[in-house]
Amino acid sequence: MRLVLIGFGYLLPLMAHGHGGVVLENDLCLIKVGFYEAHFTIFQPLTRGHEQYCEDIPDLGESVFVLEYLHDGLEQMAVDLRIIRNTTGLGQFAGVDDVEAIGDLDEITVFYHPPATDPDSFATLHTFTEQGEFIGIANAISVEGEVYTAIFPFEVNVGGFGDTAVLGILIVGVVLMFAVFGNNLIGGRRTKEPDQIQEKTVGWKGASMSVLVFVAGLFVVGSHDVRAEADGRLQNSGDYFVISVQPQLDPIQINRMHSWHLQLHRLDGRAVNDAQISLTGGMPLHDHGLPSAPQARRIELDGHYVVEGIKFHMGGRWQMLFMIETAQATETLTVDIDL
Amino acid sequence: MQLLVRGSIVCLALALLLVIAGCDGHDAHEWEEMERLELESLSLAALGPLPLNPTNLAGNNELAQEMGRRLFFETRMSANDAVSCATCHQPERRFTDGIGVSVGLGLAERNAPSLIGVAYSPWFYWDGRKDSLWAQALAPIEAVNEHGSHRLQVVLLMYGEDYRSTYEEVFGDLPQALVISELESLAQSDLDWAQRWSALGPIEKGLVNQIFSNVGKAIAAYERLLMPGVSRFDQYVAAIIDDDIKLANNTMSVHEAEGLRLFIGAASCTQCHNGPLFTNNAFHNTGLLSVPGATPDAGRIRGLRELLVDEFNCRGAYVDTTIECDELKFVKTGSELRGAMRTPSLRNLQGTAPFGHAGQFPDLRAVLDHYNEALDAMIGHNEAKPLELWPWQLEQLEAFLETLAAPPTVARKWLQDPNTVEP
Repeated sequence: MRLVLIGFGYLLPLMAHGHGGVVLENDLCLIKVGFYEAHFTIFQPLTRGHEQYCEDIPDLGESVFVLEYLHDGLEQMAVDLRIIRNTTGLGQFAGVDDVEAIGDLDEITVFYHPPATDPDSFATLHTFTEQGEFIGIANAISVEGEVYTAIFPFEVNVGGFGDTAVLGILIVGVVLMFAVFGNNLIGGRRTKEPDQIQEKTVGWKGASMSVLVFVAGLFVVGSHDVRAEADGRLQNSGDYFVISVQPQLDPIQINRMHSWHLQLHRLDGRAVNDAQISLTGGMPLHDHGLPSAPQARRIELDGHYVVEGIKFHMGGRWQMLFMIETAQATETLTVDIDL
Repeated sequence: MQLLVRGSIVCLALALLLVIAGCDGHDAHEWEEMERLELESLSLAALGPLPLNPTNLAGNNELAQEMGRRLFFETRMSANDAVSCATCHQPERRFTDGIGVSVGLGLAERNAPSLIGVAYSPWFYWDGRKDSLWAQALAPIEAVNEHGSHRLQVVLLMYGEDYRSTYEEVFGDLPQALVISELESLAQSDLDWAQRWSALGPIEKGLVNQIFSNVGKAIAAYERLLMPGVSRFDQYVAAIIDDDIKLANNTMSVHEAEGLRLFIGAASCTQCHNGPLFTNNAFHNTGLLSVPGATPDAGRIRGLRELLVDEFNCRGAYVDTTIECDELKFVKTGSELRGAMRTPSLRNLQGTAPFGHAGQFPDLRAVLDHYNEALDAMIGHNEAKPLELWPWQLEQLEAFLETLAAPPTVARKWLQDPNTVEP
């Protein structure tokens, strides 16, 4: 049996950022299981509202443990959670070996949530009736039967909170230690996979080629109405391609699904017929994407495509990203519109 | 110290109110051209006719509407003969039930939303796990904590003397073979509904599902009648469009008009609560806390998963007309949907508290306070940004929201249980 130290970090639990505002690499509420990552937080909504904790929690009472999966894969695993009284005498420095040395955990278990497979997240709650030191033990069991374990010592209702904490001047350390039980391959997998994940996160190759150009071809005539200038088309040029788009609706109507006509040329004017075009987008100021998942397909005219399934569900500034992929080049062209 | 701050705020608010009250109010009723367009878009006058859903051709059938009304109040589609749709969607409460989480046979998952104007939505339930009104109407019947019934029980009811003739007039003859050879014998057995269902062959199951889906279509035909009425806000917009400032001033107070100005302006409410029903029918995570004893609600991300495998969805075998199902075809997926719930309409909030998908907010002010702070979500991320409004501005917003109240525009009989008011 091998023990691999995977994560270790400190944070300001009461000043934790919102999930959406956290840059992943700065998010120290991460649990890493093999190459999988999850965001781990504890809430006490009845007494602390929206405040989130990665380790020590201030109050007795109902506590909600939330594990949000950040990567595909973990959602197929069965996850359980056990909370034991920390009898190791090592406080927050208790490790996997120390827990194993305890032997029978049942006697000191205060809460156990049996394995559950949920494709979205794992959440459970426990009502603490006694203060003290505890250890959380989360197991993730893969389809193949491999068991990944993460432990996190924490304190409940043991000083240090209250006014001082509310003022945000208390720094509490948190230690996330995780052990991987299994065969020798696991370590190798762990070092190999993050690169793959990074590539997926970046998404399109040639991100540096992306051209972000604000197209001023749309103007607001009403909060729900948008018109295009002149011939109604919007054009944008990048390093390789020129796209021009025209919404089927003029003006665009909020909450109405519609299509856009898209023409694609190379810079030298030749039509592009072999492109894979995908459309994403959203409202950068609101941290959300489009309310639908539009799809582009070519139609039987040189360089002509139609993007179906476009919908806008609120007024404001929208950014539409057309990712164009051909055998020769990949480029993302952006069209901004104000509704 | 806190008292001093609060006292100062209250005094300042009162002073401002006095200043405002001293004005003739006409400034508050003057709107820029852009704002007038926005107001028009929110007015009930902008609500087009309700299109017929091709998957339910009985949607506008008068007999189906009558049948749907009876079914809506029908308690025999429940395990204890005591629960009906109207148990949680009470007409006298704008089709809500006045409690945080609804109670049928047991505690349901979420708060019962109003049904007024709901037929315009492409999605149903807080998490949008149904894509038609008729498919939605079926689910509570079989939900263990709601009606706790089974589609077989419903189908047997259709074969009974109370419904058979109406059913057949609307949907055609009930299949004979099914009821005689299978259902009645099963009904007399000691098996429970699930066991009886298992005993049926695929053809019989298909027939049962067809009848069951028609029950949903009749209920949907009734629910399509529940249209919002013209509110004071709508009258106000009409006055503004007519440039009748005097009438506008008589229709809505300065306080309320300022709330409206915030609603379409600084408070950005129309980002989600837009259109004449004050909803974009989309899904947003706005960071509501879980309620005591419950873990955070996964919302749309789970609802969508259920929708895609639902046998009664737009692509299923029980639609009256096969259509493109664009909403399903282009449906949004991904982790952004985690914790997201469908934007509720803001019409007819009066008398429908508590608010929130699990009744988290006892009143409107609590809702506004929530959005004023827009704190972290327990799962996913909170899309809302803090409004950072002053207390009196929240009061103005609340006052405006109350101008959206109006009884539904249906004849009184549609709000009454036909089993009790008619012989």
